[in-house]
Amino acid sequence: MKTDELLKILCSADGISGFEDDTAALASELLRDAGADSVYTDALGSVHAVFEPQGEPVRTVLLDAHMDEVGLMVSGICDNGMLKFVSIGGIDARVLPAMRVKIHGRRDYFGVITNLPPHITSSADYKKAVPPDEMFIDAGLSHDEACENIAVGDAVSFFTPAGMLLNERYLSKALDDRSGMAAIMYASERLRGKLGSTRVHVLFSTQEEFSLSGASAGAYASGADMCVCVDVGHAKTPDSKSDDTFELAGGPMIGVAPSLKKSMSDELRALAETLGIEHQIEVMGGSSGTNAWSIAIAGRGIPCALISIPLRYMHTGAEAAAVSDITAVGELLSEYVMSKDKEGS
Amino acid sequence: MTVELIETLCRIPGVTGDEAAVAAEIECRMSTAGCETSYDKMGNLIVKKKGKMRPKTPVTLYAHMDEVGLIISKIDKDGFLRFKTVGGIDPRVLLSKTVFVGEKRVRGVIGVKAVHLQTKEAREKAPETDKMYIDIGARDEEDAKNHVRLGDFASFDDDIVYFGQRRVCAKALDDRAGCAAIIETLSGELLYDAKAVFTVGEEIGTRGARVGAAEADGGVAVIIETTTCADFDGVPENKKVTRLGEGPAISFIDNSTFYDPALVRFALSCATENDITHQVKKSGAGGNDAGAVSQGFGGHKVLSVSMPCRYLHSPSSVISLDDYDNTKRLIAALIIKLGEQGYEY
Amino acid sequence: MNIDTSLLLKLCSAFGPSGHEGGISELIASELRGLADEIYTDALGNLVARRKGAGKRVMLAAHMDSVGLIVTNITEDGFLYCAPVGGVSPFYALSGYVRFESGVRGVIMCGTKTKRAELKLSDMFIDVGARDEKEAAALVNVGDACIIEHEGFIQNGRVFSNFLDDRIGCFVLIEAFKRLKETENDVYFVFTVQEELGLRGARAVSYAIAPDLALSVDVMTAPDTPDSSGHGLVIGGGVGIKVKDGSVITHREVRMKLTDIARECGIKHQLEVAPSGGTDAGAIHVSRAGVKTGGLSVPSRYTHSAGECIDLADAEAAISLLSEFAARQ
Repeated sequence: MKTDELLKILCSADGISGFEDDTAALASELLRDAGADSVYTDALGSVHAVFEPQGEPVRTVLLDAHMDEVGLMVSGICDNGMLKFVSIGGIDARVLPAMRVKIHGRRDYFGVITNLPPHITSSADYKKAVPPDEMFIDAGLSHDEACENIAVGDAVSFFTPAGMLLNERYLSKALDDRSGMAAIMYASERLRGKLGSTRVHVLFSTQEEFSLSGASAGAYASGADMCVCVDVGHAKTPDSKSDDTFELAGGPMIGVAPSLKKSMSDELRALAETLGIEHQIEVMGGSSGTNAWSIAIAGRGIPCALISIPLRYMHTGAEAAAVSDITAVGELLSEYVMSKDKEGS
Repeated sequence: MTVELIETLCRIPGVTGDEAAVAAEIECRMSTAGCETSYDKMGNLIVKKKGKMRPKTPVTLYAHMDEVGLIISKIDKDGFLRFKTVGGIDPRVLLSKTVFVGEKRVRGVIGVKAVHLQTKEAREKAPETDKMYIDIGARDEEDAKNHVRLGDFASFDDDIVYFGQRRVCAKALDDRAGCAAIIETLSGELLYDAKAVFTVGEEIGTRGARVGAAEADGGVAVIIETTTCADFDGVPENKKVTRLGEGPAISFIDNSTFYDPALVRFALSCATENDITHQVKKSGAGGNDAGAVSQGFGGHKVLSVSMPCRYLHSPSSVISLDDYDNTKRLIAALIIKLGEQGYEY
Repeated sequence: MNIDTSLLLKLCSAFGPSGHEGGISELIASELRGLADEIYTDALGNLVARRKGAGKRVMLAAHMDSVGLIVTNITEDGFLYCAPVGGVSPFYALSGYVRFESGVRGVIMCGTKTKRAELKLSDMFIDVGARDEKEAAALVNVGDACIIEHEGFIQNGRVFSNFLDDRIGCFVLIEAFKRLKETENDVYFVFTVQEELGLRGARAVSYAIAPDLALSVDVMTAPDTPDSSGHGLVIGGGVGIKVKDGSVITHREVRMKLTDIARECGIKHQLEVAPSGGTDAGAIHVSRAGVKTGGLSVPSRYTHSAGECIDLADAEAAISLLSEFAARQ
């Protein structure tokens, strides 16, 4: 399947941390179609898919991307029917006023986040961000209707448009990390029937945005010998510091950090050079802030590498990524697994 | 042996994520001394030494191999290197210090504008690491790239000085001094079997020990470390933590671990019975591998024995060889006491 | 309601700051010895009481430890400086009466120059009545832990006491064990150590037990007092069924099972979405390959003070729900 088609399917699901069931169902179907030998869901809701090699497996390579997205959760129902909320995952509250959301109650309800009109605010107020606890979700329901259909603890996801910008740049909420899932799907399809001794274990993990717990537990169960995590990284924007950001459409970001396995980072860099895949090096001083942080110390330890997809406007309702970057990550990933396979036993 | 050993170990660059050279040196020495060596997937080095007898309570010694340092994150167009810190480093210790960068050990200096050119106000502000740079003398970006790669580690200058009352000043005494004490202990004849784990990744969150904790099964783990020593004028009594030259410090609490009080008493009496100068760590500050070992894989009994170390995490840390000798004696005594009497809980 | 309030107050007054859970552990073990098929203590001091069964391994956890203080220095004048054991607020601590395991008493105070608004624990000291360092050292060692305590009381169906966090959870587990019906389940009642220091005991013991299903029982602060947010748990509003706190998003299956039982048995309950705070569930759910984990909360006020407050009806609801949950398939 082409990358943009994969993106379209994967980004259509909603699923904040702890509520990944819809994404999991879609992912399981895609993985079965891609020829996985077994597909299952674990205790924390993560989806596992095992692709057996043609010969006797001598190594297991884990490929991880997370299924969950940032969002909100209902924390209370006011007397007037408006909903109080907390955020799940790191969200800049300044993006919230007037944002449209979907409340996953008894069924899905539309809501909009409150904000005051300019008529009753002064220009001095404009300089101050609205504190999150002064905002509500307006679902248009009375108190009784709200209580009947919506409960404290219900998930709320961003309800924002998705689609293609110029130059094959895709816009959607949840590209973090559906784009990573798309890259892994792309790689899995490309690897089909090509491996002699390498078992590929795909992990689409839960709760990355909250605690990295899905990846930690999932990786423990995989018993893998090594892991490549695919997540997103910050792409340059006019208001960001160039030191901390990377080129959109500049190719995969290969992570280098003390918490990642140096030899794997080196192999990925060398492979990208050899294959002529345009790439960028992302250096981190400690944690990568991704699942690689918890997977590396899962069980008896799983050496990890990290490839990131450059992404603009992370954790807002409108993230943007270049389709070419996602495809390139898929290619690099599959080539890497094949290079491991060639090492034989 | 001591002086040569500490010197050799401290000189090896081994910033977190790049501990292989340290591990190789230790492995070589330990296998020469008749120990069985192996690695786990994180890169922790596991060393086993047979004694004359089987212990009632087996002892596993832990020391970490990694040191704090820098990682190169950008090479600017003028050929200066930008960096991130690896592990906890006070940026104020960095200005004008020399470092070695990468595998080729390229010498560089963390530059600072001449005092003549600084305003008074600027001098009153502490510098931030993202404003600092390493000058390796490169003509420009291309020239620099011939010598340094993104993701290369930089470690502090490796000059080592013996001075004063049997004192050593060097980088990386945290925790090569601990490694050295264990190496010396296991190199000699042992009455009881003993085991050691030389861990990776301590400085970015005791990560190696999370996995290395598996080795402590069924016994007592003793973490051999260095700890804060701020025993100089101007520091309030309750912040000095330990005193240099007054022996290894035994911890009863720190940020990572609550030590079993009965086991701490066991260790204290072991020191007293053997006339080993020792002290109690007088602060709950800091943390080390003990936390990860105590909670990992079902939980373990742990002790921390730390050499007081002044100027920890700076390019010039200082220990006393008297403390070092007493630490070795205490390790030996603990192996015998635990082997002979055992520790029941 | 049939609540053994004398046992509850006894649990609350037991000495047991993190790392010193021996006494409270013994007290709990003595309550359960006749009931459990097996009782043991692990390397960290976690107490495990098991009702054996051939079915699912169900782990129920409450923590035994309380916050406290630990002596780090003794001054020449005989005063004790201390470090916090767990999250101790200097405001709650100031002018508290302290007790060491040995029975030595003292008060915790600050000097006359200390600005009250900038009060820090590191500026505070304990006075045990010693005239100098030697006298102090005869009473207390560096490394000794103490608790700040006041006598608890029950009034109007509400309990005011120190250490309801989480002796109420221990109490709920004990009472639920007493009411446990015949079941196929292999049920582990686990009383954990060092929760206040970062869920440490739970991390170790859940690895060892490897449960199929887990539930932690703890207190959760109810913001239902004047000048609080007002959105969240309410004391007297029923047992809290946790959706999330700062450490865990609970498993949907466990949550549904709990709400179903509560509805079916008419147990008063409320759903909990807490922006912060952690419980043992945070460590348990990520053990090994992951554990389906939920949480029950007894809503409480003034957490980590000497006057924590809960409603007995909420505790009763928690006991009913827990004992029913433990026995279900």
